[in-house]
Amino acid sequence: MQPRIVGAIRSLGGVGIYVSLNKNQKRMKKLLDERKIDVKKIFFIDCVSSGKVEEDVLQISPTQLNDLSYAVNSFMKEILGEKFLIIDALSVLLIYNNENQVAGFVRNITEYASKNDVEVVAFSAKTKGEELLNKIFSFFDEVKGK
Amino acid sequence: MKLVYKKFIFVIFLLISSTCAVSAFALSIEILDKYTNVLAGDSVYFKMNVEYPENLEQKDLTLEYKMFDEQGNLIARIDSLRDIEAQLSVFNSMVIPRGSKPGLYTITIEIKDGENSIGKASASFNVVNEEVNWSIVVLGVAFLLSIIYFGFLLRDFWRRLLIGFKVRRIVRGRFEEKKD
Repeated sequence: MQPRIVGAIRSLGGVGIYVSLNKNQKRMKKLLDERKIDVKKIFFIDCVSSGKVEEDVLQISPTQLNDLSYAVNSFMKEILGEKFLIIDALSVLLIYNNENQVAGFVRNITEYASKNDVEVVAFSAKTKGEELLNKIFSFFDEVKGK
Repeated sequence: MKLVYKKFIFVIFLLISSTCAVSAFALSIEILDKYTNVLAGDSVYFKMNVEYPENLEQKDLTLEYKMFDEQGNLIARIDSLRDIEAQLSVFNSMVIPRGSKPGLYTITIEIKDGENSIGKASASFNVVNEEVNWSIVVLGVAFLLSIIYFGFLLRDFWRRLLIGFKVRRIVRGRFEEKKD
């Protein structure tokens, strides 16, 4: 999935909001750095780390979907100009929340993004949460690797 | 014969009346109505009446107030010296020791002239359990529940406030760095 994430970031313009559900922010930052991605253009929401994180990283628990939704929307509101949102990986949210809650979260995010002209790219492992994916396909303009 | 008989009866009567001399001393104690049921630690008020008509001049008499529990144990005592002439009526009080169990208690007053006891009187009262004011308990519980409820509401609000503040700080900080 990583090469696809890097590819997506490269193709998107503006400032990015990265919701990291798979790896902690430090690892992700290092990975993107190695791939020559300008990490200063990206704001990280770390949903993996439990300890202290860097000052410019927002830490939200994956169990708190309302808080996560609010955080993403706040970033979208604060960042001026062109921006995008990456969610990696949606299926991880199913470990902590039920399908309907996750679907509600995705709907909330995509609605707000659509109103504010923000590109949203969400990644999910194909083998996990198939029912969820079926529920949220309609929220996106394009679904790849169905 | 009749006269002798009458004199004899008179002498007998005189003898009987002189040996059975009745004192007019009277002592009584009355617990005031309001204090017939009291709580441990509170005071019990009573009225004491002394009638001592034979005492024509003021005399120092010892008044011993004693409080007994149901088992007859002495739990409180007050001794005082009073001037008493022919009559005395006085209000007084005794404190029921804290920790006294509910039950029937007795106050006894004994008046002594030196070592000699002149009179004794008793009265009883009840020590009761403190009644729970249920309306205060219910109000207290309702107040606590509403604090908890509003606490939860405020908690979400407060969390969002903090998130918004952090996001603003992070974004503005990053853009200021870029300017530099």
